[in-house]
Amino acid sequence: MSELLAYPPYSERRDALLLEELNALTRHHLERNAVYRRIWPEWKEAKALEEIPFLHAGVFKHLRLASGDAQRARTLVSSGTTGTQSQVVMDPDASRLQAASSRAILAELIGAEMTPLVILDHAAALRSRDAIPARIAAAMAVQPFATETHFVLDPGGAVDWSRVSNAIAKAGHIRLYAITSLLWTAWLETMPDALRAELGRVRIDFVHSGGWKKLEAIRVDRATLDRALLAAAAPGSRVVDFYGLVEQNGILFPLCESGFRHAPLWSEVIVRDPFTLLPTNAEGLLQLMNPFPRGAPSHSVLTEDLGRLVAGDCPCGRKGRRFELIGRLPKAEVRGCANV
Amino acid sequence: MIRARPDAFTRDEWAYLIAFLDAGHLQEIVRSTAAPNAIVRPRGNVAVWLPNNVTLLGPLTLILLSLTGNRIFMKEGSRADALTLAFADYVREHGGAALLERAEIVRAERNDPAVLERTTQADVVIVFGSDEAVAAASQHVRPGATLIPFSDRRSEAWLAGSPTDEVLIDLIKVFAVYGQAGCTSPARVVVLDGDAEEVRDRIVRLWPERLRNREPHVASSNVLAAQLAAAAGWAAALAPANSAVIAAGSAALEIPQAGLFLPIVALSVEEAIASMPPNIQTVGHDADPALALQWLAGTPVKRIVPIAAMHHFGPVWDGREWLRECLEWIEVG
Repeated sequence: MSELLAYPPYSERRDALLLEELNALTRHHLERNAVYRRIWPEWKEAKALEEIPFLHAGVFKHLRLASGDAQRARTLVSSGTTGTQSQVVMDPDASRLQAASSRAILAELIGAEMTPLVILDHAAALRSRDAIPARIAAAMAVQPFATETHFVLDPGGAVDWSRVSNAIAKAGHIRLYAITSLLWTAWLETMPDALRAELGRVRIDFVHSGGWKKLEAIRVDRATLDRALLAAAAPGSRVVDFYGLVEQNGILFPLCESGFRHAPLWSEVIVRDPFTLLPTNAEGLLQLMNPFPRGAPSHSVLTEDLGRLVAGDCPCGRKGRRFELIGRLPKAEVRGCANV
Repeated sequence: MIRARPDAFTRDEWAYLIAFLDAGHLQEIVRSTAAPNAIVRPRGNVAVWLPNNVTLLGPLTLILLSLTGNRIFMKEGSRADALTLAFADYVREHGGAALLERAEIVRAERNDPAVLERTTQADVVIVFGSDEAVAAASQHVRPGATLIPFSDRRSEAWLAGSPTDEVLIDLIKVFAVYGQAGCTSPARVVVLDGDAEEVRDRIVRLWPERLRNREPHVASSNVLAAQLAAAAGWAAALAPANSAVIAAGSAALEIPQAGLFLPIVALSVEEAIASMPPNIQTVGHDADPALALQWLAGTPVKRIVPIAAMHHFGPVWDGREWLRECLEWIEVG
């Protein structure tokens, strides 16, 4: 259990309590995970959040780390669009906390009203006993607010518009979750004219995540996507873009109205200088922390994303840590003699 | 006097290239390639396949081949930095066009019809690259022509006892060029009957300011490599500015797939030979040359050179006198 979940996500920070929970969680993993112990052999109780040891996000692409019985655990698997997939071992207790976290964060943004949920994915991904794709886990963050859930992609990856029609038949307000690029390529670009008219009377909360690389390649920016989505929905509709990591399941960083990402009080964001790894207020590598993961030591992860902390109060009114997400680190090939 | 450096080259690459072009150096190569009572003539056509990402190999090979009088065809990798083309452009723009009038350089895939045609026409085909590339080229070498394959190779640095700071700085410089990606780069360091952790700590301490990493993605990759190495059992340390990962451990440990990971193992000569990779090419050493030869004479090693010379390219490479093979030898009585 985390006491921090008892508070609203963007209320005054309680960093002493977060530190206590993260220290306890670090001990939990060090005691149960020999590989983690080899990486941080001399760790001593952290006196500040920046002393909590981190794992580089890439570690989860190379190793399946389990702090406990890995055989019985389910694994969260990233989409792997940029190479090898990440694997994060899940723990049932932690899953409950992660679900509570994402529910509290989303309720603050889209309200707690119960509505039908349309997911631009296919249900087959849910049936795996051992591995859960990260995009399904992200979609499931919205499910607590669902009166019913409609998976509307067919096995070929196209939208089955008859299912969408069924989902909105009796609803004046729905929520729709999709990977960002699918909102353009599958939703907007293939929408039949007849359904466009039907959707125009439905208020839709579009919730999406997953990066902009594919849309940047076809020169679709955020403003264009938002404008197009809202044009094909009833007035009062909204678009929520959240950033999250498979290793930090349950922690969503939605983009606020003022263009910043906010950390809920049960998480911490540190920006580290890539060359010294010291915390910095300048642009650097994002380190994300939360006190929930018990299946694998993914409670403190140094990402390959660049960001910058922003000081002062946000005009959106949310309290606590806020940051600007700048983008992924570029990749570059090392010169050598590998291949012709 | 060479005042300008083409943008494609780093300062170090350009400096090496200019030193390679020194008249005395080239004359020495010609002298060492000659034989008593023999004259030479060009074989005819030489085709060269270059790898995608070895910086200076193309320009250096082009320079040496231009001394042979052969017609030269060079294929740079389609994803390469195209340094051979950049060098050729520089030579032509600075009054050296005549030196390259028999050279054709292209940037192409290996299945490009023009590449295959030139390969089939060649009297000598030189292939630098993977085993797969060598296999692909060999299918197009005509009967009677010579195939000179320089495929996947690994190299090591051997330190005898307690190395000097100068030796360790040479080692850092040699390693920092390509890291694990270079066939002449030390893929591991063997400390003969010494202390691997002590050498690791000294390398980290001696890492020069000039070689400090300025790329955030390299720093991040090295942080990852250090953690993967620790997970595998290495005692890993990051060089300043996260420029590389220097790790001490046993020869049995798995080496993480990382560009700038330098593993150091303490072994006896016998253990070092027993754990040498089968595709060993160069052993760079800091020992007396006669002693190094004594250690390594019975191994498949193709080059035994001082550490500072590990990347030095020349007319003898990977066990072959390749420049001589581009010439026809006529005995004169």
